Amino acid sequence: MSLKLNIQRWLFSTNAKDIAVLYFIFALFSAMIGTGLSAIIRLELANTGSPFLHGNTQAFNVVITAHAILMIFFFVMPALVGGFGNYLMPLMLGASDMAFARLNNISFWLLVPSLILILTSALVEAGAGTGWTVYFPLAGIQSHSGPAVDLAIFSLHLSGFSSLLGAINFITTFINMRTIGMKYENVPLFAWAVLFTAILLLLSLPVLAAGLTMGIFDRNFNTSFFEYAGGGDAVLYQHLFYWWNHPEVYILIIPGFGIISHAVSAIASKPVFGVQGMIYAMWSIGLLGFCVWSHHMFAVGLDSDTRAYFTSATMVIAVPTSIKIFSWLATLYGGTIRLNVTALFALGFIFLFTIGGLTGVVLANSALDIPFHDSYYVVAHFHYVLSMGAVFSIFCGWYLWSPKILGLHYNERLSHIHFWLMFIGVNVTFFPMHFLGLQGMPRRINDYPDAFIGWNQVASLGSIISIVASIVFIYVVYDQLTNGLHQGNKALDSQFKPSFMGTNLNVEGYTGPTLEWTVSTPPSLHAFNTPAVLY
Amino acid sequence: MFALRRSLLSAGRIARPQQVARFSSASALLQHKAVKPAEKLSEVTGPESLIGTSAAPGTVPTDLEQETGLARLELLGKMDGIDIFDLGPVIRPQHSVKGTPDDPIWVPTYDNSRIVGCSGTPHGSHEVQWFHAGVDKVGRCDECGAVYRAYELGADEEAPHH
Ligand code: HEM
Ligand SMILES: [Cu+2]
Ligand SMILES: [Zn+2]
Repeated sequence: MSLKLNIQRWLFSTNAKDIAVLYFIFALFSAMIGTGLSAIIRLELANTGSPFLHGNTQAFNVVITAHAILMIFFFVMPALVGGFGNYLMPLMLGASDMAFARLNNISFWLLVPSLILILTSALVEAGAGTGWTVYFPLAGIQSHSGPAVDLAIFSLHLSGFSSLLGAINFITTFINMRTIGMKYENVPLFAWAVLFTAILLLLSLPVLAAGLTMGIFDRNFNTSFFEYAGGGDAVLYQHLFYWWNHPEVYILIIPGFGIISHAVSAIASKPVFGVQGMIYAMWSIGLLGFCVWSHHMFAVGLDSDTRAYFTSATMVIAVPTSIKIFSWLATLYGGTIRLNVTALFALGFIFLFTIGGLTGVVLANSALDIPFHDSYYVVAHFHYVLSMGAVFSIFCGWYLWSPKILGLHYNERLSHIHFWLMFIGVNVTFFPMHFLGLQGMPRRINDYPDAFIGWNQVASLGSIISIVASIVFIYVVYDQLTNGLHQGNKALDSQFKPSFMGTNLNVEGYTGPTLEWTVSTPPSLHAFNTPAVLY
Repeated sequence: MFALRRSLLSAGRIARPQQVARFSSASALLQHKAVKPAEKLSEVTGPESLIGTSAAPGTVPTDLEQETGLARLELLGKMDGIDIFDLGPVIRPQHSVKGTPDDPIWVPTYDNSRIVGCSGTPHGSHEVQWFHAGVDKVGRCDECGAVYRAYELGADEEAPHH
């Protein structure tokens, strides 16, 4: 293809599949930077006395801020919603594309300047050492003079705008673009998951944008929304931030739930157990997600009635979450289980996400959270749900669908090595953080008393193992892209063959509960010439 | 012209019976040629007649004034109560019985196969199974065994059923 055609195809693309590929590339790029930053964090914490940054605490704070923002906004969200969502949701609905194809292009290309802004923010002046929560007054003009925090806030604005446009697109696609005869009850779980994610984005992001804009005004235009001296209230910022942030953690995990449902069904050769229950569980997780935000603020001085309410409301979410876990187990039960790498990541997800959910329920007790808040116990909690929940679901989705998406197969032995290195690495990194937190080690510090050396060294060792695992994954993808054809076209076979239950009468090999497997491998840009029809 | 007629005909084939009757009179009119823009479905004479009339200067055009081509055909159809592209739920009077190898459920297609989802007989009685039903080779549902077979639209022969 000529340069001009390439530019037209990739820069001006309005095709959901091409845009999804762009999202995957973007996510991989950000993930590599984010991983590099995590290496800096763990090197600094590998011993007491600031061995890596030599006492530059502001630099440490900048690194943890950039790490979190890159991983959440520029890795997990683009990969799960932008990548898998764009590629698979239209296919699963039998739609030729997203409802607003050009809006889709804008959504992606807003992320690129947003990424540039956050990287610039880390590099100018002293950087934004605010933590990803951007709390005021720490993010105010007295504590962070210079443009770094403004750049970080603009970056969050832009990526928020991108997500909002994407959310509008996904909701419209879900409602309007289902193929002939497909009722809501026939829509596969991943498409439902993306719908709920989009609704959460739509309802929560404007509040974050408002909070951040008020911060910009405080910093630059002499308002005092969050400034006590001017009659403002810093706790107001936390309310605005967490109104968005708790739904945000479900935005990060619900698409992962969708992927795991499909993976579990594929590896067990069974339809998902209790599909309706799964849909209602996601819906109530999303709804309740808006009612629990102050469980992040137990330490700001809320009165005890408020804390009692937020403790109970938070624990209620454990019910729909457990419905999902038990439905996955019930799907596996009695299935003919194929223990491929998709299965390993799906089982790993179920096991480790449950641990993360359990520590979440511990933190939800306002009395317990007073000592645990801002300690490594919280860091352990959110890495179990994110690094092992959301990220495992991304790997699971990659190994499940990438042969279909690319038409190229991966090296299965290498992928198993990737899983085991990753599994060991993340557990060795994050499990000891529970102990550190229980012993009282605070988060967001770059040095600590000698008593904490032991588990910190273990965690740093674990992080090296996970980085090796990530390099293996990059090699798996490289190998898939360059040698994938020689590894055979096994998009269907590795997940569905041999099939002991199905008929082999059909034109194409696949008969099963989701549409994306019925189209050609790789799917053509306009996958449905004659639209699929549901009788 | 041909594409337009084909979609009219194919829509007619899967439409409800009383609509088929109204349809064939509309498609019969397609044989004539005239360039006057159609304002009713019965006035449609071909693609040339499916051009919007445009709005009076200084006014905002209505859909009826500006829609052109297939979108206009669809709009004119709606005004006559006819769903040109048959976008409603699938009605299959002949499918209240399960398809069998000898008497499959016939599925219209523009290719030599079509992706079909089976939800059982009666509709909705099992988890949806998706598969290909071919023109030459039938598709069969893993869950309930129902057999589907595609027939090509726009081919010269009539539909293989009824
Ligand atoms: C049963 C479900 C969950 C419960 C009960 C729960 C509870 C909590 C609580 C109480 C905190 C505040 C701890 C503190 O700062 O003192 C917290 C923090 C956090 N949780 Fe969860 N959580 C749950 C699931 C999740 C999920 C699914 C995710 C993401 C995928 C997540 C991500 C986070 C993050 C990122 C933080 C830290 C925010 C920060 O201060 O930087 N949680 N969780
Ligand atoms: Cu929360
Ligand atoms: Zn069936």
